Amino acid sequence: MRILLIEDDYYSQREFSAYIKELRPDAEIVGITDSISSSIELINNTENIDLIFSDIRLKDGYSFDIFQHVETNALIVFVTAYEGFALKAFDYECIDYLVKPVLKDNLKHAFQKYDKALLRTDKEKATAIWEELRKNNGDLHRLAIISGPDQIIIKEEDIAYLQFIKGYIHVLCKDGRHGVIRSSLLGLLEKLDENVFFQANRTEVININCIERISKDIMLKSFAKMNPSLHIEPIEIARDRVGILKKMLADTR
Amino acid sequence: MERIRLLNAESQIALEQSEIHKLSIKTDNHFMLNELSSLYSMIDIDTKKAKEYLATLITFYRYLVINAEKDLIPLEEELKFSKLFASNVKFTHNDELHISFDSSLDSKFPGLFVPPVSVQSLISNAIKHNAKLPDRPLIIKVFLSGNKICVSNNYQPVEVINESHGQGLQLLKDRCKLLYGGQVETENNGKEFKVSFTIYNSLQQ
Repeated sequence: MRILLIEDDYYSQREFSAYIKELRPDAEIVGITDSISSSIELINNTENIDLIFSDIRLKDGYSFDIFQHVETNALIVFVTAYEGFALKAFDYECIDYLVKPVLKDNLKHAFQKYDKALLRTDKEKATAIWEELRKNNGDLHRLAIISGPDQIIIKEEDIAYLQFIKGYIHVLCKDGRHGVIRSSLLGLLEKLDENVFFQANRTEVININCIERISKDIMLKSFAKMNPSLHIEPIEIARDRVGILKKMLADTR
Repeated sequence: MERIRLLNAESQIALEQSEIHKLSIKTDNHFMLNELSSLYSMIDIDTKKAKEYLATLITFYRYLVINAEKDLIPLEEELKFSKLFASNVKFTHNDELHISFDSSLDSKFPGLFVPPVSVQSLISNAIKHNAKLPDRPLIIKVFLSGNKICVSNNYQPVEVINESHGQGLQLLKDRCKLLYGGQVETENNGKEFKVSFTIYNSLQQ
């Protein structure tokens, strides 16, 4: 995560950066600026800023000015000693508004909001990519999935396991890569090879080539145990689907 | 203050006194909140400096509490208070802010009075409304001119939103006018902004 800190008070700068390093050791502080002009210059000359913490009253005016002058994809958290600006701040689509003095817990909370917001934007990106793919290919040979900040391209045969959760499909590949796409399970299944991908239950689909063993528990429920390299729990096979799986496996042979 | 009250026509006294007491002292709250937040961060980083800073803040607030209820205070007192404020500000703004008090202000001023927090509020206003940058420092000067005290600064305005705009100045105008018929004047030639107001001279009344 690349962070810009806009703050005109020396002591607040130092404390704030110490908190950032403590809470997010992986984060990189790409700059600390203390005025509108220096912030605009830095944002224009720095690529991929993920998150900006910005004090509102700066030495040469209000930081709102900065965001009127630059285009940035960074998410913004405003920081201020004076609460009278909250409404104005939300005009700039900030994800959080911190009141000074900034306590470590408040900052921690802001980072959590950042994580959530990032997940949301990932999902939006995923939707767009999915729409694009659907336009281009009726059948699915390749699929772009969202993994953290990246999109990764996978082939159909790479997919080991799919799980549908609230509008999104989590995709796990044979080599451990994983990510999400937005789709209904049915919508995706229609495009996958029906001889390879088996819907085990209401929410899970497996690649039958990744099944290591099928076993029953004492209640006679069937489970598919997947290749150990995938590190996933055995997957319950719905009673009325056991026959279908057996037929698929027989055909493959 | 008895003599000051006598300045007004009898029939107006009651009314004007009640007006005066409606005029509570206005400080730049955002500024003070910033200073306190800065102190919060300073404590761990430089404890010695933080304590010095806190001591000046306490003294500053003591002046504010003691004088807020008064109509007029001796000019010397107000200058002492303003200098204290200036040294406070120095703790958090180093190179980008210069506040000077003319040497003529070091004298004793028997019989001269001003409203409390008047000179200080003009300095505070200048800080609030102007840019303060290392390459464009804000230079504030306090000096005497005839029977007036002046606060001037190089004019480099910044936008001020959502905060009391011009209220502090209006308040000072009201107080000077109601208390002793004093005038507040502002001048702006685009390079320099200056506010001056009449000092009340109790010996000449």
